[in-house]
Amino acid sequence: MNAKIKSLLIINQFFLLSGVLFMMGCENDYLTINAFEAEGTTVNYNLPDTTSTLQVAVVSLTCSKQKSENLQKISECIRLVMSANPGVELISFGEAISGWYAENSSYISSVAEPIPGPFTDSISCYAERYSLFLSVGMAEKKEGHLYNTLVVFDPNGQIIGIHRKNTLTPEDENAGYSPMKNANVVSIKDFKAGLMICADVNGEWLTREYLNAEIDIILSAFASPIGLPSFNLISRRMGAWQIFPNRYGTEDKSTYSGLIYVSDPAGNIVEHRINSESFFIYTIVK
Amino acid sequence: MKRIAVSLFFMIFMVFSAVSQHKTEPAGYFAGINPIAPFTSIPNQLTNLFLPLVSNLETGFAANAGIMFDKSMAEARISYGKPNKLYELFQFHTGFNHFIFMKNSGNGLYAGGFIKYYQLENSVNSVRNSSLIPYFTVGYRIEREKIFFDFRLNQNIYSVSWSNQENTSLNTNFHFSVYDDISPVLPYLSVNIGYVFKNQKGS
Repeated sequence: MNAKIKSLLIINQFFLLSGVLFMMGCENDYLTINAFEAEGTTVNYNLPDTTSTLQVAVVSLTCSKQKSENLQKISECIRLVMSANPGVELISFGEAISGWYAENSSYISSVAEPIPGPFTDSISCYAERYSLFLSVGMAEKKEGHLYNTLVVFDPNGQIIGIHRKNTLTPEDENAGYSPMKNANVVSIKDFKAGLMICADVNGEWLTREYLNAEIDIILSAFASPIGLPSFNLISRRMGAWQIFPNRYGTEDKSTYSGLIYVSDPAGNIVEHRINSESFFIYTIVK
Repeated sequence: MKRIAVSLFFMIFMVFSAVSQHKTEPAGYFAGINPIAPFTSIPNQLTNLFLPLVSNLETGFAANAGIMFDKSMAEARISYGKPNKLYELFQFHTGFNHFIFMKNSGNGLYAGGFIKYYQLENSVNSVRNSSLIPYFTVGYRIEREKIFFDFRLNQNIYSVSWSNQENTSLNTNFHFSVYDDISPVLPYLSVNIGYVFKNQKGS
């Protein structure tokens, strides 16, 4: 067999393989952080000389199966943070902390509430009492659907943002949550914050919405079992600070790492904690 | 732009000066492609998360060409593509491989060193992250008639990175893995297929 025929056979097999792979199908709205984005070191981010600052407390919380106990834990955590530093302006809590996370739909339905409802009324009181912004993940019940929702309160106790999870994980689907295509940007002092819940970071549509909105902060809520991942590159992708709160501990078969962090707009993690129920305070500038 | 131009000039100059050191005539030339690179743009878990590790992180159109000497070869690689729906990636690599164990002309085990210019650009906000990354190579090359197959491991060593993003400055560091949480050292595999143009005088 001469070289030309061999070359043609190789080219033929190449196109055949292409066809098979394309037939496997492309996933719509898929934008997971991959090796291409992680190549090279992140660049240094130099804090700008500015007067716009935001003091943020990022929390990892061990949740109870009982919603009332979680409300008490949230209240106690706010008290601890404010006694540690009365200047804190925003406290950021993890995903769906009104109850356990990866549970069946009958349990989720029992802890889910409408917004506004008793759970958000209590959080609203805490925000007003301490005069700060609060960001809390919860299970929401709305028009017969369950949503994995992030709610943001202002220092007057008013709800200024309700974000429902766009991109569901298998745990969300087992829990009976429905997805909702929504993008929500809220103003926290001088900062524009785009709201995201966990796997929302993999959504192309939401990423483009927030890039076009030129947000300053990605205010997220996570229920993450893993240690230090490449999630911080989401900051670089968006050119925004990322606030990453989480859950901690074991709930039935699921274990959460308690990883919490703040990353700067170049993608560097500037402060983090892991493997404990904890919080830290960091000042974001722009 | 100035930094990019200087980087590319430096890389080309490095290979030209190394090639000019060779006393012997070139034994031939080669040109090929990385056949896996086009598939890494397909947006699903398999192709987007793991396939890049066996395509030397090259995506889209990825070509290579080089000069062969008796026991070594100089090579340049260029690639351009979209690693996902948000980014565009341009790469240019240059380097040398030397045959450690050669069965016959152009066949055998080799090792070498390369440097790559890696430019990832966000197509929405036009933020461009650039890196200069030196890396080691170990590979095996098979020539059958005028077709060659080249299987290679590429291990990053160091990274010099900069960006046009506001408030950022150049950073340098050792860089052995893109997935530090999985493995602190992570070489990429690459497969190259191409055509050899033998120089009758040289060989």
